[in-house]
Amino acid sequence: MENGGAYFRSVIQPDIFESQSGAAAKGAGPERVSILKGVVRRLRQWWKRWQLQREERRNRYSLLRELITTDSRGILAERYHTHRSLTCFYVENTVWRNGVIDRSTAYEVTITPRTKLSDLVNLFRSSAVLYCFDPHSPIVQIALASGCAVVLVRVGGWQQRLKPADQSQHAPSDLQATPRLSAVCCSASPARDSV
Amino acid sequence: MTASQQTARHLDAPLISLVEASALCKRGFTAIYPEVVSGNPLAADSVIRWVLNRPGLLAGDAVYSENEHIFYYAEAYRPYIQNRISGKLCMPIIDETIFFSDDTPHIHRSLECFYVGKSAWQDGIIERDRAFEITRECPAKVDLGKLFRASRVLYCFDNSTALIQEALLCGCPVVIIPDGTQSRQDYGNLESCIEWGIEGHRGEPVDVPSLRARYAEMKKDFHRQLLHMV
Repeated sequence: MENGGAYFRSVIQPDIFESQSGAAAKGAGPERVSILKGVVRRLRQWWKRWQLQREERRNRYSLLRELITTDSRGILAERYHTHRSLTCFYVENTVWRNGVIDRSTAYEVTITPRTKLSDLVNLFRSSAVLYCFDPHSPIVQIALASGCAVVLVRVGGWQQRLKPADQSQHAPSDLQATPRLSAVCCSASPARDSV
Repeated sequence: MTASQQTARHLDAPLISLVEASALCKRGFTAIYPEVVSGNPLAADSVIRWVLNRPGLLAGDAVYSENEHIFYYAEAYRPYIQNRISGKLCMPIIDETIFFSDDTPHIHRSLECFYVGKSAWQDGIIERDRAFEITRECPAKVDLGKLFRASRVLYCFDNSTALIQEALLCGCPVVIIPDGTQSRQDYGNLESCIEWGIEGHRGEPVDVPSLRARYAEMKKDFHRQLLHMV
């Protein structure tokens, strides 16, 4: 063991090791700086991209809210039963999560500046369920008001299911006003399921 | 392929610049122009004119040069061509992986769609707020098939669009709103499947198997037509 210890000390030679590691650290200084600069640049790019996405999302939200307030003209208040055969999903700028829904069979709802509220309402009246990957989007309100169930897909695979409020309990005039519309959506009792 | 931003990935049709295309034409290559292009901008010695709509309706000349070889896309356009015709080239363009029928019962289809496209909206035919509008931008092509499989009817204001056959292959009945550019007889073998005008709409389901058989026949014909053109 003693011989072994002597051998170890002779091989390591602490003084030489320290001096070598110090020199290496001094030599790596400029490299570290360049790595840091790269990280800062990427962080700035990510920050800009995030700000742009946030701006786009805000614009889309305001467009949807505008649709609800100015274009409703009683469309949402109309009630008639249709067969619901479509399964929809809404992603836009949020993150798609695998394993929630089969993208090849479900219809992707997209919002463009030409989108009209009547188009969304007619679509949701033929849809059984909307999987919404953006839980804060006003599209949820439109879907629920059109009698379409909504599944909010959240981070980590959490899903929150919202059922449309019982339509027979609300007079059509209740749904015409936007503040009431959101109230109706909130009154739909959400059942949270972990998946 | 030139003067375009994109090309089909499954075709051997690379994108080239106009300068490159012009240089190729000077070396003796044949230029194929659609009917919407006026004259012979690439100054090619050998020109084929592919008439994809009525000549001069959307753009381009109504009468072409005598030196051009004229091929038409569909029988509907043939009567309007004033030049000597060299043949027909009807290329099947429908993606059958997107546009197919999944045997959704007709009673389970509840959505009503309409498409204006190159035509114009006509008042008093359908209620705009009751139907879903299909535009060139929205929905995406991959989603169109899903939409048609859930649709009860497509009201088509554009009388000359591939959307008609795409909807029929998905089992969605099509009602064509006449805009004066076509007649019912112009649709040839599709005539029995479409409904002409809102008064002719009976809401009957589409006979998809016979349509698929006709489409398969059309694909066979295309190879023969292409060989003839080459």
